[in-house]
Amino acid sequence: MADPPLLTIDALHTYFRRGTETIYAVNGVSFTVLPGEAVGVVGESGSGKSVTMLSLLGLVRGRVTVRVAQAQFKSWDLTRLSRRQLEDVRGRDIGVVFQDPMTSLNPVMRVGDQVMEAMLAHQYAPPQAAFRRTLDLFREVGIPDGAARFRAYPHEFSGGMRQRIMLAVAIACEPELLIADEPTTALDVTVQMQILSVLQALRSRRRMSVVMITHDFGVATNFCDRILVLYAGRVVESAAVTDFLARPAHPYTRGLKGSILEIGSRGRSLTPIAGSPPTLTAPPTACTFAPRCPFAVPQCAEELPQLRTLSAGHQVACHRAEEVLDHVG
Amino acid sequence: MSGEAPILSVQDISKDFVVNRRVLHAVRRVSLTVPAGRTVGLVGESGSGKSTVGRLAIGLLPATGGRSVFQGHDLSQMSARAMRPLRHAMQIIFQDPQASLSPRMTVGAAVYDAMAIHRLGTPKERWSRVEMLWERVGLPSSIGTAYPFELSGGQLQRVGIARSLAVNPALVVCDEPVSALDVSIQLQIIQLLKTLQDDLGLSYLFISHNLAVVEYLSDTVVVIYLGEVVETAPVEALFRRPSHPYTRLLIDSILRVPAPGAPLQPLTAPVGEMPSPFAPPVGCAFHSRCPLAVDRCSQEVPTLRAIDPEHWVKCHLAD
Repeated sequence: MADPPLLTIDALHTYFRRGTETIYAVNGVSFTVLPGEAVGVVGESGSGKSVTMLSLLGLVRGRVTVRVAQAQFKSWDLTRLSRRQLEDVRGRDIGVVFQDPMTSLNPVMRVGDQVMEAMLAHQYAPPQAAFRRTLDLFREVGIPDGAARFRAYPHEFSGGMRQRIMLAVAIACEPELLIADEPTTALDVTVQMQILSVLQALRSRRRMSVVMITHDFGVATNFCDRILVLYAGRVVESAAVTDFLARPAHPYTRGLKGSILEIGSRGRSLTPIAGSPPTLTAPPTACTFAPRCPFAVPQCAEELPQLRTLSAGHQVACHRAEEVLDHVG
Repeated sequence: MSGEAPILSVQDISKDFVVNRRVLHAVRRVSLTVPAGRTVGLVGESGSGKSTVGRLAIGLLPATGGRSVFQGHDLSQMSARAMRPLRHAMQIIFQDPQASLSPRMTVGAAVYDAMAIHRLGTPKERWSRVEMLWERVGLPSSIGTAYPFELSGGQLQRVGIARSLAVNPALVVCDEPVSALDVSIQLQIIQLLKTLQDDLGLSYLFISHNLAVVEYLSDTVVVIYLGEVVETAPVEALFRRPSHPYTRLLIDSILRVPAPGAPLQPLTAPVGEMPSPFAPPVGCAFHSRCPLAVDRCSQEVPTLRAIDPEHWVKCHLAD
């Protein structure tokens, strides 16, 4: 692929102050997103997958420090934008969808007005055109009878329909990048399938890039081109879906994949990863997964593994990746 | 049906709610049986009425019609006071254990309290039972002095399980107990529930929208749509031969991780959404979403009929 990346993030760090402690939530995350590419960001709660994206968008609140060596989106250096400028990029060039639509929809504003507002606020279209486009968007995301539904309030819709309204708001200005944070986690499987089919149609029609934050490997592998696995605020593996499926090289990736319960698992013994992910109150100086890792050797408790390339497009942060790959099972 | 008496028998139970002066038929003539020491899985989408069935089954909600018989007692005929001695034997665990724990009480005190409410044992016996329960659910005994906000989701769910076990239940209604947890923690809790059942002979009514979890834990599965049972069968039969189009839709909508080299699953939207429970479709409740529907389906309500001795389907077209 000759295209330059749409988004390049290098060495992102996010720290929260909590009382007298500092929580090291993101500890040097680097990744790129190519035009038209869908990247799945997976990991357990507390892995930093949401905080990473919120940090980039200037959406983390409270006593927080964000440091990043490079944050380039198209021609913009996100670190040099003012709050106003960042707000303008977000919503116009980068759309955002969250797990709970009610956190981003205004409960006392008609849904049609909310979609229109997105376009008017960013001077994307004049009112007449924005109105017509709102009806088109409703059709595009699968809200039937858009003209009548324009004047309804969010509470009059089901969870799946609200998610579509939020999607219509997010894509109203035709963003080149959509960041979706667990967009289908709270939905039934049938509704999840509907939302993902809408997203996939948008991707192929507009060549929009998507960063899909999810803990659901079924969603990540069927929707995305590439998977980033986060653990304790670091990327531990980055791989095309084919490599992710055939040659997972980090023990944590293997553990997560082994934890998936699917139909047909009945009668099999389960192999959850023992323990739970750490909350870091100091920057990591060794492999943070080592205490839970069946492959750990003394080196893992002493030296922080850096992300290194195993093969084209496949990177892993593990001292023992070669042994992991050789290990059958 | 097996020869032994079931621990729980829900018979033709219904529940109407009045919302803004309109009647909502949340549960319509649902029957199910939980044999002692077994697990019945109850699956359906949000709004299907599955949680309401769980509450009706153990008398947490009064039924509009039908009855629930627990250990031979018809709960629908009993006052709250009369039901009290039975309460400890029917416990419920929730998706969000934090919502059922006081934020100002240590989790040790919360487990102790469950026994005190039911006047089980002396204070000394209760505290030693708390210690025993931590071990049973896989928590360190140091956890007793922690407050709920200090614990992770997985630890909180273990506390919730310890609290329900404290009072020696025979039946536990598990309402989406693993849905909010990370996959690895989900497996840990599922393993724990299975071990506890084997060790203590517990019976579970396991409510979930996650078919894989239900398949793993259940002996019998009940599929519910718009407040009605549309299919029920022993677990192997249900997954080997899902016979209601709705059951098939649920199974086909699950995104599986493909095997290496295997094709991806097509992301094709199923037709329609669940209709408003205020205005359920005439005829078969599922016909508006059914890919197989024929004229008869929009006119005539199908009956729940056996296609195999223990496999019941509410569909005109099932054979």
